Amino acid sequence: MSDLLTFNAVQRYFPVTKGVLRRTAVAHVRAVDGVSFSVEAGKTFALVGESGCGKTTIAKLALRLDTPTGGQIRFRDRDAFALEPEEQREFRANVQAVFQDPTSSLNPRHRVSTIVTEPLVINRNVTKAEARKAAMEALAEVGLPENAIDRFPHEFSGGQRQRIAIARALVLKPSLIVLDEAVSALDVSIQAQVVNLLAGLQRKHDLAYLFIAHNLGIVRQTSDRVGVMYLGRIVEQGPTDAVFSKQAHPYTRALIGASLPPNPVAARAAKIIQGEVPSAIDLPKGCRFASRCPMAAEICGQIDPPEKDLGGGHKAACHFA
Amino acid sequence: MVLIQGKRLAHLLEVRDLKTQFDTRWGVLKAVDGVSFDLDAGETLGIVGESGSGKSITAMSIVGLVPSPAGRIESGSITFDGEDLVKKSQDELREIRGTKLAMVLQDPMASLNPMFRIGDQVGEGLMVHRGMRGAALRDKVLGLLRAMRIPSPEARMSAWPHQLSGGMRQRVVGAIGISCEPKLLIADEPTSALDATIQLQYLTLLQELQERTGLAIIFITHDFGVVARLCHRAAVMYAGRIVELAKVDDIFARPRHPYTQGLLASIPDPTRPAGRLSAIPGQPPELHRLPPGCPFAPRCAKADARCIAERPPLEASAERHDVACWHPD
Repeated sequence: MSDLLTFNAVQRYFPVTKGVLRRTAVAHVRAVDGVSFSVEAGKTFALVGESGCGKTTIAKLALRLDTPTGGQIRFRDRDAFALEPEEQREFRANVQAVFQDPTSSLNPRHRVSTIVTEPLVINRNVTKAEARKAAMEALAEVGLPENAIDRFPHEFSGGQRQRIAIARALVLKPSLIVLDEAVSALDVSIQAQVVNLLAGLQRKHDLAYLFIAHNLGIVRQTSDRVGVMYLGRIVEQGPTDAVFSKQAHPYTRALIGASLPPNPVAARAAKIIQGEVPSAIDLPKGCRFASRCPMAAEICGQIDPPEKDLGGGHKAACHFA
Repeated sequence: MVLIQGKRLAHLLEVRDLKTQFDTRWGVLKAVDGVSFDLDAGETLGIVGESGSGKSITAMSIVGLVPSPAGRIESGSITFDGEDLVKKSQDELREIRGTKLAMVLQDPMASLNPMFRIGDQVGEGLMVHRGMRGAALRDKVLGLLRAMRIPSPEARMSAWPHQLSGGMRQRVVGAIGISCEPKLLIADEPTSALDATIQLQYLTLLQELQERTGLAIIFITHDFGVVARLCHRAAVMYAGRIVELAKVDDIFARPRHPYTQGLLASIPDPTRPAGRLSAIPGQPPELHRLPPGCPFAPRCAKADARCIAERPPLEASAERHDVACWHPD
């Protein structure tokens, strides 16, 4: 087992400031609050949770687009935030990203050739002809026709645009791709095509994915391990099948219980959990899920539950797990 | 069904051969191309389809909000509560929209005015259409916020839209929608931006409301899970046409159109372990260059010469499981 990317008790607090000239922090949004997990080489680790739980902040940290305020992020056993300039360049080539909306992540004024070769031109010493050849190969790998290379993003459908974004991520031959809701905006029939494409590319190139999504069905289909996030913390993580079939945290149960499978009997049996998500600025003392939890007892309002090891890499942060 | 003039049994809403088109620089775009369906009081119809299938433009046509001058209802009729909406003027439509017909859109921030307090926005329809003022208006607004399960409604009355969470905003839009007790609520992807747990709260609220008031609902979505949970019947749209229309249980148990079958097979199910997803090959057609035959034929494994040459009509069946396909089942 080789861990490619490791988060160790990572925190990212955003200050909430007051005042105009002399800004003073009056509180903190604890977007990521002590998160530990690792992504193995060639495997998919999925993060799932509701909006505002900190998934995208983790994606930004993993890409070094943001700096943690606590804890450590290691890539190939090196502290990702203590790299020499040359190592930083190598890091950026090794860790690529695909985002949710290809319309905003692809420059509308650039042809596909420019979009896909840009990472090569910046990171590698290549001739124009070599860059174009690499771009052609990447486009072929994502299933786009050869003539795509001289067209503009608006000439493609949403699913094809996402394929262009994947080709751009592939062209540097990375070992990890961060997929931040990369298939969420696609239509169902196209989503399945892109999910299958990503699975094929993973096998072929031994790629690791950090797969961020809110759709439980997609997560179950695509990931080897999964972490369930709630308000800045991973409340349960483990091998995907274990987490889905032996849900240990009441939030995981609530989230899976509230999802609507494409089947009338199961969808009508889906159960509501009441209540609103507390604010990440004003977190309750004790367990942060206690206010919505059907199992909450006195201890939950007082002591923040530590992560319990349930064996086989399956962990849950609940007093009753 | 309702009784009109004591003789004819009619549906609350009857859409007949609706065609809505847009003039674009690539030619005429047939966004809705011959759509027909009925809806009764107390019933929920799900319209499912992918982007560009025409599901939203069908809704816009019913409420009379097709973007003009580029778009227009080319032909067909929309009979709502005994009146043909296609023949109404904008002023008449505005009166109907405010009172008998309401619409909820996907993005609550686009429906709410950021410069007005929640209470004023929920009460606006009641002031304009019902002439309510003062304490009576305030009580009614509070009741609506309570009905939509908004916590501490007295305090929320004076809150601004940006101070509420996404789920709460969508419930405020829902409160505006039902404020004048409409007979028909058209909801266009109202829960797509919400999380699973909040989505389920919202759908359950709609179901309770319908049981209490006999509201008819058209729910537009791309999510078959939502259809399975909420709807009584479902219409599957593809390239501006309804390709399958049936009771929800029948659509899921025995989908008859190859497109519906393909879509259902390509949905990842969180209650089942992983396996390769079966995807529908190819891309949806471009609406300004529709093929003469079945628009799904280029992606369909069953397609033959007839499918490519001739468009299949939506055939009514005895079991009310209609399908537009030359080779169904």
